[in-house]
Amino acid sequence: MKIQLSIALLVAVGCWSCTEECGVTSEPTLSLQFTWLTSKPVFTKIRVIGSSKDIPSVGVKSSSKMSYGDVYLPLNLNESHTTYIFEQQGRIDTLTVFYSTTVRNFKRCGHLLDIVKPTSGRTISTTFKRVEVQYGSYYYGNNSSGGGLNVQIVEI
Amino acid sequence: MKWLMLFWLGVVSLFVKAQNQPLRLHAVGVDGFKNLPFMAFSQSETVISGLVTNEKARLYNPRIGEVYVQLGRANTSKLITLGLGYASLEHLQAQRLQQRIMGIYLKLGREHHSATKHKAVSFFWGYYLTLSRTKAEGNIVLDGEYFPSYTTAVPSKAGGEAGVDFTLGAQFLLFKRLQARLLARNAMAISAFGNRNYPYLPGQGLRLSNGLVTGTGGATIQLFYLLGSR
Repeated sequence: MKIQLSIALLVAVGCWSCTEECGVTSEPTLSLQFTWLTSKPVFTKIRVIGSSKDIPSVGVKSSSKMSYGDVYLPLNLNESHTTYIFEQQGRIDTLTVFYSTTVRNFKRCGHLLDIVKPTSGRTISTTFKRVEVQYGSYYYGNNSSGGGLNVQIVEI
Repeated sequence: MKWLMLFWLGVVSLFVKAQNQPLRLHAVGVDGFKNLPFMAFSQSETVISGLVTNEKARLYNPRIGEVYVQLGRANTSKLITLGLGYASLEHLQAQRLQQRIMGIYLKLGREHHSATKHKAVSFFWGYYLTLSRTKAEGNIVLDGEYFPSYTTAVPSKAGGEAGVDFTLGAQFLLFKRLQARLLARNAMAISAFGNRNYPYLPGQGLRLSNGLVTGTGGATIQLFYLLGSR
């Protein structure tokens, strides 16, 4: 009985500190990740098509606590894609990521905005040799590990 | 409208048993006080319901009004109070979800008064049934730093609620026929809005949990104009 009570107490105390991340709560970012095969290059400039101002060459601050990457870049919610131009010594690359938005409803968060894979068409277009995109949810909580949109540069 | 009148007639007839004394209009009243707390704290952000998301919200731009009629017999301490209300207010959650919650409601109460005559100060207790029809609609609005701000509509939702409450009150005769009534109530409400999106239930007040059944409560000040003598 004491053990059961202790477990119940632990669960209760544990859940007291549980928090959810309620989808896109500010201008969202995608996380750009370089694998161990491709160490992160030194970008002299990163440009984002349609952006109202320059972004730092090291990227911006992540919009999600649960995302993991080497560089975070802003996503344009008013379009179904965002194009980035990466400049480094003697080389320029482009990356266009496609997505769509959806409104979801959770009991604790209420209505929230999420970014999902487009129902049809391309997901990515790039001059990098090999990339992979993962559409993680921007909601973190019940059965969702969160993280948001993640692009892995597998081969430069 | 027809069902509404039939409902009132039916419920009133349950309360009004065949007695010798005729039922008379005792008072008419209004309640606009419920706007004041929302106006006073319109800029205050707080976790309104639930401790899970830690998202703060505020309620502002209230438009809440109630009208009442009170029926009673001569020399009785028991009165029937019927109310009709409208509530509309805006809800901003975590600077991302903007909503307008609005609804109409009926209140039906039975009050037991300490005095059978008009007195400078008297007390009462009672129980009320509240039936509400609520609608909520809104947008997700996200400010942009590098791109223009983004707005998208969230699905609007409409539904009904019912609540019962226990009320305690004191009433003060301000002038000859003008009476101020101070009420405190606690209530249980059942709502189709089992969701954090709707922290306020018209006719019921701020909800204490997100569940189908929730506790609510509050206090208010009503102004009644007394008609005739008891």
